[in-house]
Amino acid sequence: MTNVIRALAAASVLAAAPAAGQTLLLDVTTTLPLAAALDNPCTATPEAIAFTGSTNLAQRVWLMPDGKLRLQYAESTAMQGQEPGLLTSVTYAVSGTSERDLEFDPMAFEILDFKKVGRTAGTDDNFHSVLVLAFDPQNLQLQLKLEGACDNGMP
Amino acid sequence: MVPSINTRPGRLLVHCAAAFVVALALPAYADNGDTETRDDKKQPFVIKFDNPCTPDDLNGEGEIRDESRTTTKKDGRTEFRKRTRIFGKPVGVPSLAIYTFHDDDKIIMRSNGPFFKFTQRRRIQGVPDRGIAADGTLVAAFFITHRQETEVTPTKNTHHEEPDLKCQDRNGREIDD
Repeated sequence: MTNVIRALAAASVLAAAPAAGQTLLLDVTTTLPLAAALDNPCTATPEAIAFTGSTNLAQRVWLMPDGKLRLQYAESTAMQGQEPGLLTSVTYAVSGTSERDLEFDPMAFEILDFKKVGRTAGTDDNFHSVLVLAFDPQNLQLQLKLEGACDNGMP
Repeated sequence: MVPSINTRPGRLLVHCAAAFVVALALPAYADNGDTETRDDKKQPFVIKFDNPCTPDDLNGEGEIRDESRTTTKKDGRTEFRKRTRIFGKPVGVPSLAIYTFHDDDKIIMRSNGPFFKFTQRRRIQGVPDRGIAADGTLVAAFFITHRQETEVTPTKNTHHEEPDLKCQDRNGREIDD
């Protein structure tokens, strides 16, 4: 997995060469644990599928000459899930990558990355996990959380 | 003509057309009380570009298609979803190395306020149909940096497109800069 994030970082984030006059505010590469109980909203029955995993995240934040911020990141996420207390052996799995290069006035916002949830048995549906990457201009570091969705994020 | 990394030293011609579009639509109310504005226009923005890896001055054309949806949640938050598809191909110029490029990307952003503005850069690699030119040289990689400005309000969103073309060798080093 380390190789994956290194490759991602090299191929995308680092390849986007900074323009002159930018000031580097943050440059971190880290592995963040993920844990959440998600309901599959595509099914009528409420569930509490316990997901655990991690996200490898490479992130840079630049201060631009005009006062805007530039956020570059590449992430690679893998998770497994199981519904506790059930005798069935159905397991869930999520894996995916994303990368962004955004420039904006200093403000708080979230980026939502939808990742398909696969399962070992049962009917396939449109269950997606949503990796929420929250940016706060006060501390610059992306904070991660998880949500569930019954769509793929298309407009 | 045989394209190679040395065919046009010291010269980078970029012909691109910046495109503006403002999508205006009447907001609609979803069943859950959210207010939703859609921009499902498929009308493409036509761009013309010079492949900087070839000696031809202008030999490419492409399209950018945006679809977007802005949702104002009951709690005041704004969620913006956009899918951007970019297609490019050469136009009628015989060349041993034909480049095409294609990108299909979506971004979903959420903010506490009703308005926000951001600029997104995407780096898209052209795909040559051959890795080695007739003279034995390696065909350089052709990259487009697509710069797109988006301004989101509850009733409209505005895009400004600006493709930026780069020719790079296999190690990512810029050629003809």
